[in-house]
Amino acid sequence: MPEVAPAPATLPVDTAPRKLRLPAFSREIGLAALTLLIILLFSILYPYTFKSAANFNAILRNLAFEGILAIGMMLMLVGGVFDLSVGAMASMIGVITGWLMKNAGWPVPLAIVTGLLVAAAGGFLNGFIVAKVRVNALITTLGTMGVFQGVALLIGGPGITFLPESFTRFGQAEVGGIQAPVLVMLALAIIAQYCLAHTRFFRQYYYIGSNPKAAHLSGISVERLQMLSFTIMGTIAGLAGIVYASRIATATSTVGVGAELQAITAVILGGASLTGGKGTIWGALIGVFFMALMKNVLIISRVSSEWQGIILGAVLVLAVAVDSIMNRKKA
Amino acid sequence: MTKKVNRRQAIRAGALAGAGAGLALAGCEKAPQQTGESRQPGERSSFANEEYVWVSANSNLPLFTAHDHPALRLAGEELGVKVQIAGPNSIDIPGLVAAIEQTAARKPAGMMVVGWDPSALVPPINHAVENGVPVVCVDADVPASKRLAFIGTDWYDLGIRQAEAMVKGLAGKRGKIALLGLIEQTIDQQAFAGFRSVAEKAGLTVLEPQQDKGNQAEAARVAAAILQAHPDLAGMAGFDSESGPGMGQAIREAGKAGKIIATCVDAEEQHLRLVRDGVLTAAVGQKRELFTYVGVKALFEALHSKVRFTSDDKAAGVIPIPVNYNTGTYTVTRENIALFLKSA
Amino acid sequence: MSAPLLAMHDIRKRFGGVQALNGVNLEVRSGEVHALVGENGAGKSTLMHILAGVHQPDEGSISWDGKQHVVIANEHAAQRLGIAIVFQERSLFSSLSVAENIFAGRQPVSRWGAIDRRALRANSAALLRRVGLACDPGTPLSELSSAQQQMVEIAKALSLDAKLIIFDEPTAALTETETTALFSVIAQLKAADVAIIYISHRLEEIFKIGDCVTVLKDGTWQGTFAVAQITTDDLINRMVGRALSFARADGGARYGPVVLEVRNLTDLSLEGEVRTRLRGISFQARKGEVLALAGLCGAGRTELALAIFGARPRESGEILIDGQVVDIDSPADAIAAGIAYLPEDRKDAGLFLDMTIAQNVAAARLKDFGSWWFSDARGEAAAEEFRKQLRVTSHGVKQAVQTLSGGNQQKVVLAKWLLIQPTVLIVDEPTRGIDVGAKAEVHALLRQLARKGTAVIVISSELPEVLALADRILVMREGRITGEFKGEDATEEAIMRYASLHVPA
Repeated sequence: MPEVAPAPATLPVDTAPRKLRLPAFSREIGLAALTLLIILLFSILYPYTFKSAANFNAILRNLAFEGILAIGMMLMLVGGVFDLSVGAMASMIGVITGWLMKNAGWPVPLAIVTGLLVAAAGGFLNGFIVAKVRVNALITTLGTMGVFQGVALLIGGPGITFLPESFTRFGQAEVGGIQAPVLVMLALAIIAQYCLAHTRFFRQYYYIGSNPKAAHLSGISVERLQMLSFTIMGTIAGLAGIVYASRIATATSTVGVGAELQAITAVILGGASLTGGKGTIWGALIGVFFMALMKNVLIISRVSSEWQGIILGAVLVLAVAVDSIMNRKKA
Repeated sequence: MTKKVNRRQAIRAGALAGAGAGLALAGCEKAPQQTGESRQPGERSSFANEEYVWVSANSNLPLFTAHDHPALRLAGEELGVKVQIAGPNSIDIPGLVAAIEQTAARKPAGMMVVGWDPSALVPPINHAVENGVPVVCVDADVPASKRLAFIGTDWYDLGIRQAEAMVKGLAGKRGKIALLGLIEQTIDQQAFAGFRSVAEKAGLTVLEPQQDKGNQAEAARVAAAILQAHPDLAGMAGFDSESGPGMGQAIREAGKAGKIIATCVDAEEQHLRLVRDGVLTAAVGQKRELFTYVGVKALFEALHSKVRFTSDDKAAGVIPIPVNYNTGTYTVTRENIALFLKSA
Repeated sequence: MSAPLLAMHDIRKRFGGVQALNGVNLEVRSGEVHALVGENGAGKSTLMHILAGVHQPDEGSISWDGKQHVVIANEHAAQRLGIAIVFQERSLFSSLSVAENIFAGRQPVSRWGAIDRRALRANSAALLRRVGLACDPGTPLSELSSAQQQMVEIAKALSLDAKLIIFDEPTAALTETETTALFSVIAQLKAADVAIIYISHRLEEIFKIGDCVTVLKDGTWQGTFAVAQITTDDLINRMVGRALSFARADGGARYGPVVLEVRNLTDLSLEGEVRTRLRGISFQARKGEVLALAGLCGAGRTELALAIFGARPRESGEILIDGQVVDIDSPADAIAAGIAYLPEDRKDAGLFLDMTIAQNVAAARLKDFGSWWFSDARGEAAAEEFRKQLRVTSHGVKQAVQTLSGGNQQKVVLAKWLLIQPTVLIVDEPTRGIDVGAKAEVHALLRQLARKGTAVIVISSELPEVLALADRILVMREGRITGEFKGEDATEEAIMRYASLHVPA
């Protein structure tokens, strides 16, 4: 550190004792509190159907797919971009992996590794087009979404059914009452949380998301990091597709339809910003859990499916609006 | 801050709104009672807490709301039990899986599942059955699962009924018959086989089935092409719900109404009008109402039937209901159309 | 002499603590080219913005075309009066046709309310002939050169029946032939009795086409002169002559060896970019020296800094650090070589506004805080050091930088670069938009850094700042270095001369 003597004092330094300031209102904390509130409320209203281990287990096992996608999406949004092709990617990789093991007769591990490599390549393609060719991320991934979905339908038709037991054993296995896909999601979350919060390398994404120009001028290689984040996202989406195919013993070609928006919604609820630079992996998980919880309580309280859509939409806008009001800056 | 919102106020308002909404959505629930043995059949009120849930993807499809849902409610009223509709309102397989599992988790008395995917729904159905929730498949089957029974149309039989209507319509004439449908679907293939078994005996030539993608516009396009390619075509039969309207459009545009004998599956308003106008010769309707009506009753019987096979049927794994319910079909022609049309 | 078309008297305008205009007078007659000169920040733009209806004067009166006390409430009012501005940054739509640009929002319509294409074409063609631009009105604007685009702007002004056209630095991006063409159009306008206000840094242009010249300095009116009766020296004296507002640095500094050498640097202009191109720049900077790059806006100083820092592609040239040629293709390379760059627009390119002081300070040297277990505490401790040393007024290093004042934000960006202990620190307009107290602090800091052995390169458009800080001054004009002074020998007049006049090399 260079020795720099204090500059001549021309401005008074604020030496007055500081007021104890409340921690800044963050969407993660707000959402976690709201989640607890809903759990409490519905535990009282529905002590038998809602407050049961079976129900929570059912919530968990069904959020794993979107949860895995949301982890990758959080990384993307921290870096200030997003990827609309993840749902189609999950479908495509599920179908490719399923096709390789069922129709081509490849050994299961080899089929999985190949699927993940194809996913990484597809993600890299997205990243290359966005970072090097400089096509807007929305357009790029909207385009590749169509491509991946098309490939999934080409290879799989409606889907590859009755996948080999040696593959499905894994997705349906339970450890301590928790299904394997949930464990995969948690393991991935721990790794991602560590990377994003504690490694220097992934820290750079916060800078890129906050101000890409300043990041570039601070010596951060924005292009390379962007390509990498798309590659990681693609691989994670492929993993989600494989894990889900293993769970339901079927590689459905349309499994991921709409999942990209679910993941983005959850991640935004969990504290990310569409303009980048914000968010944590825990926030993504809370967002996913909150969405799954909302759907569950709507099923439990027998709200019709039309109203479910209306309520979920309103909750999303409300949650982000409250956050925006809380954080409104001085004009 | 230009407009300062008091944070505590906002949180309080939110909490109140949430609580209010929650209370409005539901009252407090009662503890689930053990179903079966202890209660007397015939005492309607004793089953009032039993809940039977119908779960499907695309759960608000007009076909469902017109036939399956009202019959579901009717069965519930007759038995004095609760009925419920669940599932995503798009064709969303993960959403359907989640709905099955989360519905099973709240331990209803029984579940009816529409088998949108014969493979992907196996794990959630088995999971529910293994955890003591009886499941039957309705409308479409998941034969590889541990569902107790399937209630729906026998499509081979449906093919036979269409062929019979066709033979009757041709009145002894012979010639080429074209088939349309979702050709990759098992049920359509069964129907094609049933159709052939009758038509070929009657000396008709059945052409290779054509794909219409379950889409009216596509069905119209394919039907028009067939009419072009086979000027001597005697008849045409459609096997998904959109085939009939599509064929009707093509036949009308080709000016061949009445000259081609056309039959189709389903008897919705659109199909019926085409029969009334003489564009279609016959429509073979599925008794959709019976899917859910019989579904609820079968689940109810599975719990409450007095028929005994062993000293302990539950332990022996014997279930006191049939495995297959063919709900059958009805055939609409110009002779009986008046009885089917809502407004003459 | 005829009555003036426009007369502005004793115009005063204050922005916050800054008196931007302090009693300015301007009279312009029809058929006259009236030049307006002054340093950067002298108040020319504010005055023109008042004419265009963007700002309202606090005091003073405007009369127009014989009417007293005219209020120009907004841009539309200015347009209705017949005042048009040909902007420095063009206000055109590059994807639309020339005709659509000329009549943007005012296309002739037929009886049915549809755009009358034939009239649009015919009117446009007539206007294009008047400005001497031989192109079809349907040509997309993007296919025209920047000079041709400027002609379209002029045509647009004419279509508004402008009685007064303001040219703001019209030749900044033009070649010599294009400039000649522009001058002939201006001569025609003049002959058609249009009044013209001509703003330029290039004094020789003023002597070529101007009739009168009004000089502004620090928002005050220095007089209006007939061009024929004033000399270049006189004009420069009136533009810059003033008491030094900053005390000069203590002299007698000892410089070390050359640490940065730039040899024959020429940059590559990016596609579609209207910018000054750097041509064959060579210079050296020594350890412990404060080197200033002076010049007018658009002289290429920022481009030079970016090219050295690897943020702008170079066509040719070498950069040597401590006598060794270094390969710099990106800011990361430059930082590794010990070069730091504090950008001109700190909010746009220097700061991570929603992040904390600590996170901003750490940005260029994340590796110091742990690769595998990033320690916020260590980053915060380092930032806290700087916060104290640089006297950043804040509640602590966890405060978001967007809540800080401009001066404190600038100190945060400086801290980011001090953390990498640069061999060469390039600061681009380091005191722009910060208050006087903070300015003095930043100056003291930069001098101190030099004393500790950093080569500091200061880019500044404020001549007093340059004179107060620099040991040596390089003057740039149009992408070239045109002059060099020792700090103690330089005067504002001399720098101005090299910055604004063609000087035989």
